[in-house]
Amino acid sequence: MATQRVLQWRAFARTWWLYDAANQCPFVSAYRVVPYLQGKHKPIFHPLSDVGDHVVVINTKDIAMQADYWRTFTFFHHTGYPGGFSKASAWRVHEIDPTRVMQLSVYSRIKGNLLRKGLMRRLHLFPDDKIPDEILENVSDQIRQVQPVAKRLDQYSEEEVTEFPKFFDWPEDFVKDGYKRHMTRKKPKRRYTV
Amino acid sequence: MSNRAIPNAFVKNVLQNGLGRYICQLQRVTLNFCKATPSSLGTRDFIEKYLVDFTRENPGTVVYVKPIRNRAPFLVAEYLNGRQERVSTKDMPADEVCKWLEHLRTRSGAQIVNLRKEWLTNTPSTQGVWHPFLNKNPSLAGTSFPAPELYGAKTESKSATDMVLEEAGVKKVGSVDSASSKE
Amino acid sequence: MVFLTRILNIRARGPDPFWKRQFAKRLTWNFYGRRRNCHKLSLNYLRRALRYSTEYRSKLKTINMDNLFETRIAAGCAEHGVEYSPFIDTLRENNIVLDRKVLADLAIYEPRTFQSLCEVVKRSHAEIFNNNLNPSRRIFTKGML
Repeated sequence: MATQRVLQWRAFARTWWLYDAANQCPFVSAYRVVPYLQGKHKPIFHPLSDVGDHVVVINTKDIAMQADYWRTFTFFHHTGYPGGFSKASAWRVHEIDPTRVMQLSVYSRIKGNLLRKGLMRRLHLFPDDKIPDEILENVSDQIRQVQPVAKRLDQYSEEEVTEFPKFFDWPEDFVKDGYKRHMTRKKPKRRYTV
Repeated sequence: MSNRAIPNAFVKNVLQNGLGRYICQLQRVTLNFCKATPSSLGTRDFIEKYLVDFTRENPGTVVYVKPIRNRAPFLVAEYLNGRQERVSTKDMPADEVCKWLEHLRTRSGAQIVNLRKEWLTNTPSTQGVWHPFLNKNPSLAGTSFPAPELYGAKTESKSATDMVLEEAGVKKVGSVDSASSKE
Repeated sequence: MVFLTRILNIRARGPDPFWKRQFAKRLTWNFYGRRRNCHKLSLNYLRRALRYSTEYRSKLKTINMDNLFETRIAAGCAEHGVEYSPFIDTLRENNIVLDRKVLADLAIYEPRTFQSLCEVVKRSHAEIFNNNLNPSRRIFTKGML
């Protein structure tokens, strides 16, 4: 029946979702994004039927990591050949490619089966909010962020800052901490080739 | 063992047989039996007692009676869809042969396989099958993306700023939700 | 056959072993490598395959299907702003005796029924915790009367 065929198309239509990664942890964001790629947000989900959606992630250059993960978190890679091992800390990877940290965190979140490559192909990463029109016109809904974004000090107006309630003054002999972290940057031994 | 090894199928009926008039799918049945050996005794009894009645009741079915020497008796049923079914009637009494013939007569001729589902329906849904646009807010159609007010994370607990402001009895200065992530 | 001599009777050993091998081949035709072609090699793998399939039918299939139903119901609930475990628990508390298979089917094939189930859950939550989750006004419960 002709109508049945159209109903089938409608039920299995792929939708495009937008996710704003600004000030979001990439690892927690991956937990939020991956079910959409797999299609687990649909009641018609079945592991053998291809019902995953497209996810467009924007502002990946503005992702946030907790604690000092930018310095301590390391991404590893091995080409499979002897001496093919390489590693780079998160800030270094982010410096080379601002979409790479998000991509790797999503990739490692998906189970390592044959579907992974196909799912990753439906993940579209953009370092800023400039999206090509042919992609943006597909987007029909947004995924909720995982972390609340606090308002920065420079985003408040001057009036708001001056009117903010003050509970106490620092005592005169109070020494404010002038500590600055001195980070010695080691030169990476091998070039990062992920 | 993978499921491919064992044939399986969905429930089916031959061309919706019986919705209008019923057509007996059994076209031809051959009774093979030996005239001498005791294993064919029941089949011979069946031929003597019941076969003529069977042919009278089923004029659409051709019946062949075929003597074979010194072999176990069997029935071969041929159906409208071209398939054959073979049933051994060795050492069976006449009543049992009767039952098997009735079984062959009432069958559709489709192969008996494992069923993937035990039911079949032409109208799986009365309310319409779920689709991705069913529970969407219609206002999304007119929204231009990205729309920051739609995707902020939900916060149930108060932020430290809110608590300070509440303590001081001041109105909210900047809510967390309205903070734009971009400049 | 009528065996007139003892020698002929000894010669009659039943059917050709070819048929026995064919019977095994019906189950091993899709195996990999020599275990598909060599009967003697395939027998051990056949035994193991049958054991695995028994195990799958009795244990793993139930687990897989339960996980699938859970994913589907959770997806259906999320569209109406309800989480999976409160949904199931509240239905049980309200004596709505639907198992997870039926709930998953409802989420796909009768989405409006599933929506009203979600609204029952929301209403129940609003009564218990006294918080308003925007339940529909179409649902009436015992507490409201």
